[in-house]
Amino acid sequence: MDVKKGYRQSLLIFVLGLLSLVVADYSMRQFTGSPNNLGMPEVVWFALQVIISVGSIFVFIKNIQTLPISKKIISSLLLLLIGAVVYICVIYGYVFSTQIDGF
Amino acid sequence: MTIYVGARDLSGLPFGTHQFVVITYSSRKSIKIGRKVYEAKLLGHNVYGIVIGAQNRGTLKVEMFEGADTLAAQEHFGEAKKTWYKSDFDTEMQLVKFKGAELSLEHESKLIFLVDAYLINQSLDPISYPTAGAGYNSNSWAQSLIQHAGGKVKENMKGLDIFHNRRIPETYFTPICPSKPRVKLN
Repeated sequence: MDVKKGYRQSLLIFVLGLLSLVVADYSMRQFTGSPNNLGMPEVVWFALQVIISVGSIFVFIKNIQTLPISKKIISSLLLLLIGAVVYICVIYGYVFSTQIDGF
Repeated sequence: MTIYVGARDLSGLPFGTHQFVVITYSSRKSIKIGRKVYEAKLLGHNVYGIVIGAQNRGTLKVEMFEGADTLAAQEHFGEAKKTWYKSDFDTEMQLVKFKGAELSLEHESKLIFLVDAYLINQSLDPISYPTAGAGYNSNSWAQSLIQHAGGKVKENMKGLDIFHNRRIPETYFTPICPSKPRVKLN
């Protein structure tokens, strides 16, 4: 039960955090009038992503404290996998779909 | 006059490299590309250049002096200073050689001719930008341009420059309507 709650809460924090970051970055680009430049400073942009990820993992760990160690590891790895997919969808989707940049 | 292929980080992404082309001069110079005349911008100490790259604009659209490409070139040649708190593009520049030589007016003209033709074709017969860049993209474009102009340059630059080994057919760089329709890319 706690595991499901853990996934729900941590993914919610992660998705909402990344979306907020995207909105802030997009607004900055619009405000500065240069949508194809670097937007938010790189250090801030990636540091905030790390903070959101750490917050999300912290909430998850709090929710799985009662689980045996093997299940803790497996469920954490699954969370990381889901997180990576979410990250690619949100961040890469943002950059490519808004035509900020591309390969 | 020297020609480079540049590679820079994608804006806002931890992985991903975008390639573009820079023609450099030791003094200010203007060049007609398509219908416009472009003046070489200062890229560094005594280095002026024209920055050309294919961009993600729904189609694979060639733009001169695109913001990020220009800043990346200026970072490399020294006009834009890098600091730890500011974003940077970690630009790599590779010199293009034509028959082993760096300087060639003939090849510069050929390169401009190819870009001119691509500009015509991109409005009449554009190449769609591939989903998530996975297809004929800016890396393919920069490398195709150099190859069709007869130059040689390192293909696999730093980072994840996917599809640098794909070549856009030369018909997209020729100013004539081919007898058969062009092969649709992406």
